[in-house]
Amino acid sequence: MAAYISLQNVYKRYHMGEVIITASDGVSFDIEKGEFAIVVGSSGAGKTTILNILGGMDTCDEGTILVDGVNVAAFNKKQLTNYRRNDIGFIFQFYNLIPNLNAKENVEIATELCKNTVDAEEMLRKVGLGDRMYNFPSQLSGGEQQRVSIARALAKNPKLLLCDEPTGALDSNTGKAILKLLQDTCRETGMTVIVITHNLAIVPMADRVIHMKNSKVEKIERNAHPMPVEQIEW
Amino acid sequence: MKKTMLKDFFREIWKTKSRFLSILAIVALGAGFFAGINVTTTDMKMTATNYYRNYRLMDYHLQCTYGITDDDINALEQQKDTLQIDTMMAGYSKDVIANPGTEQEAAVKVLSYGGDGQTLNQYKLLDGRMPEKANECVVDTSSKVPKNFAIGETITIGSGAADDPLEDTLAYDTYTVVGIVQTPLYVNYSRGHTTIGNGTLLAFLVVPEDAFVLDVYTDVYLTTVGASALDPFTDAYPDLIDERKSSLEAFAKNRGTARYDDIVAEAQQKLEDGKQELIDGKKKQQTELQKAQKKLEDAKAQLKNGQAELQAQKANFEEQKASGLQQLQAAEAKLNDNASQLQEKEQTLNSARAQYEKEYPSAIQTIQENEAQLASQKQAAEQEFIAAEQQLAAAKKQLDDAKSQIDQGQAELDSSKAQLDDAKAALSQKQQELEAAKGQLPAEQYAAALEQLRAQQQQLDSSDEALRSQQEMLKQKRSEYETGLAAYQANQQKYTEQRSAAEAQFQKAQQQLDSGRAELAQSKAQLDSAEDAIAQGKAALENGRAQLQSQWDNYDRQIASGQQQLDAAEQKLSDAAKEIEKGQASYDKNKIESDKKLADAEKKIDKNEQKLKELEAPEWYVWTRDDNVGYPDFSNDADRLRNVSTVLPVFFILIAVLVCLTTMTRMVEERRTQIGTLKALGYGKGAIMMKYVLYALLATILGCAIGLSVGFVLFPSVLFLAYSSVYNIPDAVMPFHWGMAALCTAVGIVCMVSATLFACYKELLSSPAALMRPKAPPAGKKILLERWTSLWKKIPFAMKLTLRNLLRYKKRAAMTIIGIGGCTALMLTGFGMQYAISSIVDRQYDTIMVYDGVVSMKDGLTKAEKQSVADDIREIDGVTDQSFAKMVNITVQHDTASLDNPILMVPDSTEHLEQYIHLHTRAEKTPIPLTDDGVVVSEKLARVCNIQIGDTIDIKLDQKTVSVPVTAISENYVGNYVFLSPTLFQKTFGTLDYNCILINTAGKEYQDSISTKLTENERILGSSFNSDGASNFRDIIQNLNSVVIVIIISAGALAFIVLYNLVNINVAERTRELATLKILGFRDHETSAYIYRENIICTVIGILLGLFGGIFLERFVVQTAEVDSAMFAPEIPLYCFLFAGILTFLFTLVVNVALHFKLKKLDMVESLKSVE
Repeated sequence: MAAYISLQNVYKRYHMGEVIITASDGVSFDIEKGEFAIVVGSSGAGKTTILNILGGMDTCDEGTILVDGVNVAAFNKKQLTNYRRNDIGFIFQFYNLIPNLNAKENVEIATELCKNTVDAEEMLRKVGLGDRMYNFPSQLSGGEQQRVSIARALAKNPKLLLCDEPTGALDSNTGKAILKLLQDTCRETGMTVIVITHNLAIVPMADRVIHMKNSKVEKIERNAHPMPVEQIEW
Repeated sequence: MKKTMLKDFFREIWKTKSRFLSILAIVALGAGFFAGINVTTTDMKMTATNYYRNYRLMDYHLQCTYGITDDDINALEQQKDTLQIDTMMAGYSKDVIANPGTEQEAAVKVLSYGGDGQTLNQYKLLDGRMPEKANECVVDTSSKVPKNFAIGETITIGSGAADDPLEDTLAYDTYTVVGIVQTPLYVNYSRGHTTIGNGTLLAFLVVPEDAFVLDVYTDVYLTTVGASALDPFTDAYPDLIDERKSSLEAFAKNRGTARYDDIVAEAQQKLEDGKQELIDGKKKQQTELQKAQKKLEDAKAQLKNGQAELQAQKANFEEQKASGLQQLQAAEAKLNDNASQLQEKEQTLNSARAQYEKEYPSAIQTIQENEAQLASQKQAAEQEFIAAEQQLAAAKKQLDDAKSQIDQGQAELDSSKAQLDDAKAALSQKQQELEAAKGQLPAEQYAAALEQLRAQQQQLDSSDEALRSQQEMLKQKRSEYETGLAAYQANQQKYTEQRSAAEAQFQKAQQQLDSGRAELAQSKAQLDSAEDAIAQGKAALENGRAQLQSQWDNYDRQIASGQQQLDAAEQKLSDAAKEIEKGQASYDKNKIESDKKLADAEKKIDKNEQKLKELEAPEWYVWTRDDNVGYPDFSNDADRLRNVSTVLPVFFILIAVLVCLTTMTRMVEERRTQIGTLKALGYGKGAIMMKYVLYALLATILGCAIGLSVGFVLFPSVLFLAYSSVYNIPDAVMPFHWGMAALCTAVGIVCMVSATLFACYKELLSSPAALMRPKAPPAGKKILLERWTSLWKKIPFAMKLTLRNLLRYKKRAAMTIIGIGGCTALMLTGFGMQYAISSIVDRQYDTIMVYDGVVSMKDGLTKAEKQSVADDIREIDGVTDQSFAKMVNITVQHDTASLDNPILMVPDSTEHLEQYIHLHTRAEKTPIPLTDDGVVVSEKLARVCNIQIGDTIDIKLDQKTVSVPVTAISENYVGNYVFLSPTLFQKTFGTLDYNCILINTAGKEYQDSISTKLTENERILGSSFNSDGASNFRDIIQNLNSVVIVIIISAGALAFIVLYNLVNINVAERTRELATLKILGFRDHETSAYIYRENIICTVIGILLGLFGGIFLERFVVQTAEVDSAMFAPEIPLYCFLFAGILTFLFTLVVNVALHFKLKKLDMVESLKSVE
């Protein structure tokens, strides 16, 4: 039985004129269902490429990507859109909320897309924004906006939660709170969470750490005892 | 600008090329449209001005009813300076019928060609060459010209009027076409009216001056000093022309009087001459008649003499006839006598011949027997002779044989003797040799040889002996032979003697026989000669007979010819008698005729005398260019075009500026981080702004350059093409109008640069730090509608989003709405204007002025004469109704406004008016009765003069001004009318004097024949048909239509670019938002729909606003375009709204489809990466 998520020899090359940049150079790793995984590496190590490919925003040139037994790498555009729509939750560094919608509506815009969703209000309450439901993004702080973003991702009830530097634009306390929310969600709902970061400090909190360097997987660590976020300082 | 900044500037342009291009395109379209449409009128007028100038169109055209003489020309020449004449040219013209009697029959104007040196109204040769011979011509070209107006064809012309033969004017009636020309005299395709054919000239035709045989010129063309430098479309030109026209008119009047005097004097002289001629004629008649009388008498006397002579000749003839007969009879008797003598002689001869023939056989037999006897005797003798001869011959032969034997023996003997001698000689030689060799030879040999020799000697001796014996024998034989020979000779002698004796005997017998025969022959010859004599006598007799016969013939002939001569003489006499009779008759006739001629001449003189008394003074006309067919129309049309094209382009360019402004503002906002960075680096405001200002400037300048260079050519070309169907003005000029270009560019630059500066300045006010932070997108806000919670809840989620978005980006939404609204309004205006203009022809002629034609009568006809004209018209086939009317130009005044072009229309009865003119209100079409209470005025007139129902207006007609109340305002489009009832006219103006007749026809197909009939009527001045008027008006409208199409197309193009640009901005501003939606799993169509909803709402609002605003724009434009003499349809029909709305919507759709593909290509990853 293969892992819940399994990348095997994934290659991604960009053609910049004459030069070919290999953004993923034979990346392979597995992540089990319900794991909190962190992909870590310095800038340009190929983390985001992996995230994009895994999230169905981009395609790879070679290799297989199995998500719950389905090869995402073989998907066409339409299948990819459906995959994003139903199976993936995204959390971005800059939240990417729709400025014209209030918190609740920003969640709803996601829940309207797919079935089997969680109620938006409930989700917002869960992320601790029960009383800010009708506020517009401009009326929310960065942490709060990121919470809305998390709520939007989770409300879809995805198979996989992908977070691209979720704390990159936040101060460390807020960041911690966000990470905690993610970790708790993982623990409580059994959601598979993959966080991409360049921040090595948060590595101990993950079940599985995938180190990337020069577009390759450097090493994969498994933490038998992940550290709670509160104990981590950076 | 720093080098790096410059680099950045160009990279900016490259990176944002679609924005740069869209600004450029909008500027180009706006500037091109504005400038292009605006200069079209100028270009049209310039083209015309150049044409007039280059082909030297005249300023004045003088004509005189009596023609223009050399004296007139000289007088003009003398007063050249006072009249300020620049150039002067005399020429000929004549209206004729081309191809008379054929299907291609047409009234045409013949103009003269003064050769290469023609100074004014020069012809522009389009094809072929100019005429060189007097029977060559060049012709007009248009769709109306007859088919044979083509190079190489021949055109036959006729005068078209019986009392005016063509040869009085032109030398030839057939001309060969050698070229095709046009002339500045005709700027459009109508050639004016005439008094021949059907009254309408269809073409012109140019022949060399030599082809005209007139002794006076028909036309004089002039240019005035300084006029060619003036623009004929400005006021300066008509002012100058009007000012100098009066002095020309004064001159013409003087010349008229002088000419009149000349003519009267000349006519008087002619009359005198005529009278003298009459007197001379009478005298001449007298003498000639007398002469003729005398001649007749002479002839009669001659006839009498002739008759007497004939009698004498007849008697003479009879006498000669009798004597001739007697002579001939005597000759005949003598001849018969001779014949009987000859017969006797013949009988004698015949008996002699019979005797001879009887004796001749026995005589000839005797002779023949004797002859036979003689012959047998002769034969016997001959045989004897032969035997003797044979004997002789045998003897001779024996002798000869013996002789030859002897000779042979002798020869043998001689040869043997010679042999013997030789042998003897050889033996002796041997003996000698032996003797010589005796000593040398052995003895025995010698002895043997000697012995041998001795034996040989013996042999020889024996041979010698034998030879001697033979000699002896031979001698004996010879003597024998000689004896034989002597005997033979004796026998021979004897034979010869016997023979000659026999022969002599035979000869004698023969002689006797021959003499017998000769005797016989002689008697035969005597008979023959007698026979010959008789034959000769017979021939002579025959000859005599023939002579007599010929004499008889001769006699008969002479008698006959004599008789004939007598008959001829008799005939001649009777002819002469007849001739005399005839002469008498012709004499009588001539006398009557010449009497009549003289009487006629007398009458004619009287008539001419009368005519001279009634002679009218020659009338001079001084025409100007405005009197040329089509000349004023061109100017009006060009101005109309200007009116139509003034407002729209301004509106157009406003939209363009607005859109560019938004785009630039957006650009500056997008670059705020960069601006902040530069500012932080220490660049000054100016340096930072420079980039954006330059960006705008470059786009504007390039846009203007492209737009103007295209617009200055494209729009005039399109409109020229449209107008070329009506105006025939060659060599279109479309210069680059630097002034207009500078103006457009300046306006563009000012708008764009100030917009850019404004946008930059706003940004630059913020601190660098604030600028470097990403500008928060405009905050989402609750909108007013949300307060209405119950409703808001019912609105679908997506629609909520759209509504919020619309209100969030208010400026952009407003721009989109304005842009689309503007385009819709422009298109509505286009369609509306097209309707406003094109619908009026049908309305005017199908629902208002329903009469088919109007006939104008000549001035000064009596009432009875007018009635006769009406009666004549009634007789014409195809005329169904007719009614007298008075139509006359008036000036209408109300308050301060006045209009001098309305037509006063007075029908002869108000009840029957409905058959010819429908008076009704425009809105409700309520019929308006024409009452005696006041006048009905047409709508445009009411508008221009601000007339309301119940107002009183002043009507000025022929120096008399009358105030009348207005009872109604009627629908009318073409021209301005005041309708007045006949009773009211009489009450106000006095006597009602009808000047025209309105007619209705059975159909358009009768029109030609009717107008031909009408032109033939001397009391009719002219006629015009509403269908012609309608078609003329349609032509004009056709041109305006093309303007409208240009407007619609341009507005469409503008709508398209504006929409595309705005949508582009919309997408660019929200890339991030759209990328997020895509990542969330929005499908392509969902993403597009997210934007579409906004676009569609904006479009719909824009269209609605545009349609509403368009009503006012259309009304404004239509009223601006209207001329005083016409009203365009003031309402806009539904289809115009539909077309404008649907077209705009279609453009929106097209843009949205393009947008869909753009959104599909949107890269989610890339869009999320960059955070500004």
